[in-house]
Amino acid sequence: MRIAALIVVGTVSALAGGNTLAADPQSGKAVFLRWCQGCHEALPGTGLDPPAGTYTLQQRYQDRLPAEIEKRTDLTAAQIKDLVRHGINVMTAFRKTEITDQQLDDLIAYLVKP
Amino acid sequence: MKPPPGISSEAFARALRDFASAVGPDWVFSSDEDVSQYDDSYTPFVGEPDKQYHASAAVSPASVEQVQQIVRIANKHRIPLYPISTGRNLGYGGSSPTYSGCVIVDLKRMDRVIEVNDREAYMVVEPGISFLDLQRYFDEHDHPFLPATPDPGWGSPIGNALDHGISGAAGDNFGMVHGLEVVLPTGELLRTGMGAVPTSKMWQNYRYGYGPYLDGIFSQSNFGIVTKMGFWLVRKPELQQIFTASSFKTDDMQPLLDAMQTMRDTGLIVGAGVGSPIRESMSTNDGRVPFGVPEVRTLLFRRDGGSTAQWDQLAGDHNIPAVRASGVARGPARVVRATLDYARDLVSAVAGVTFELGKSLTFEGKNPMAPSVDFSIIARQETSHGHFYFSPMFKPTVEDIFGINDTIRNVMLDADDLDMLGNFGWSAGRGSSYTKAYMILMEFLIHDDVALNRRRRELFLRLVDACGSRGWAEYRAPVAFQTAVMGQYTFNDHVLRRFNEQLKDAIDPNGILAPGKSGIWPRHLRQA
Repeated sequence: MRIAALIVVGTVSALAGGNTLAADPQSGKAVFLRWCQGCHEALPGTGLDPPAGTYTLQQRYQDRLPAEIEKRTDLTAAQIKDLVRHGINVMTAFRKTEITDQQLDDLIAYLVKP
Repeated sequence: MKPPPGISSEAFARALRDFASAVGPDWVFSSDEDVSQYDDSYTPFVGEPDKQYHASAAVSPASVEQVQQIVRIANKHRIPLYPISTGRNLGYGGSSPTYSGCVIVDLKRMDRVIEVNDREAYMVVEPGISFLDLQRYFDEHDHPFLPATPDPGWGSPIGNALDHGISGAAGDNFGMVHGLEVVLPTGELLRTGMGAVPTSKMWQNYRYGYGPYLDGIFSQSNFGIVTKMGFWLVRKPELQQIFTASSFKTDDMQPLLDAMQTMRDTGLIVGAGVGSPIRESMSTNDGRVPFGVPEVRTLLFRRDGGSTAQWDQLAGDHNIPAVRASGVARGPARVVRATLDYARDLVSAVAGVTFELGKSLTFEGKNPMAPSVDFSIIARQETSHGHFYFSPMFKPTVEDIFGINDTIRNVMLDADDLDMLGNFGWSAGRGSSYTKAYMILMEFLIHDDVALNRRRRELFLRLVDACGSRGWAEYRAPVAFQTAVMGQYTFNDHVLRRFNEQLKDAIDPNGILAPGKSGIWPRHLRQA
């Protein structure tokens, strides 16, 4: 059995610099699952390592704000853009070859609550 | 936008226009904002921007042909390039160049799986794919393999292998490499091994081909841009079972090491390690919670590190073993069980040793060793900016393990850095990646305090020198320290480095590719 395929895994589907499409929260959720969830998912049960981002935000906010960023209602587009492109603490910057401008707009549409 | 050294703004603008014509204007990044994303997120030079390495621009090809065009354009304009795969080798430089002014060749868009061969257990991939992508691909196509991921898993199999990265699944990831496609610094395309025979279907089956075996010269080097790589794959086993053998006598370490090494040499186990839980019980170097035995620090802060009798006494008093060896058996369940029986008999020949079964993994359904993005260990330590690693290699012998710990401890005491010594504590290193070599992975956390970071960099270099002079050189280094680490390989007046430089000058006559990578500088940038 020889399985040969030329398949694009699909990291980047939209042009890096172009914002030609309206922001789509469903696409933004896919971006979140691919790039953000690993560090920003819900806290696990006792005895398990918490994901780094959720843990850090829990320490910082001490329940004043939700540690899980999907539950936040106060995030702004400017905040998200700044964090994604510049990083903070151990969170790194994300390049346009990883998250395109269009995908970042989609992510913002998913995370910023109207 | 700052042009590369020695290149005028006008000439650089012409080069960028040529790059844009090759890959399209959307995939050339030259604004300060875009280019800053290629800085090392974990730079050890926080607060010292003049010491940091900065790219001048980035260009992201989508095909081998575009990579070739980029290299030819760079030669025409004498522009230094620095290729990255996913740029996620955090702690060793990430997407940062080793020489400021390089144009990053960002290969992230070249993320295809070219082939996965289930029967023959190999794959061919491009550099932009990550271990996370690969796991998704294996899951979607029901391929019965374990990605050889380090942690976290957003790195590239190719980038990781080229930097001699390691994994729980395969151990030595470059050891799995079978066949490379490389864009040479002139723009010419090379395929290694049987890949050089146009009609051969053996590229991933027999890696040597005929003539000199070249794959290795493209790892930890700047001799080409690897655009495809073949890997042998680790099949999902039925069962993986960890076992341990513990003792309260330090003198049992060597016989337990011998037992583990014998099983590794004969292929019975796929991983082994040794430690001293009592000596490691106050270490926080890897984010673990200290056990609360303050006498441990008292002994480790002494020049002699405490006597065997003192440690064994402490181990007994706190019921924390003085020695714990571990092994990993993997395969069909009944073969694993037979291996465990054999291991139990072997280590039980050492009086007073306790054999225990540890964590077991089964592989039906979700891969329990799947790549993840686990930064929790770093996040729980006191750093605002990540970390970098000191990673020397040594033999799996008591003499080397205690020797390197004595050396590290005394360098830290000389530097009067008790915080660092307290965090590191004591380590027998990681033994599971290479059969006959152990490595210490010492985290240097990066802080907001510029003076502290500077002291830690100086400490790092003192450790490189002290360990290197005793034969324990590093296997890998962050961008800022690669030249220093290459400087430890001194046999016959640095003939290794000089030979690398001869190759560099011959292969890359204009010295455009990744100047300084792994301490290999092109002629025009070498110091007299």
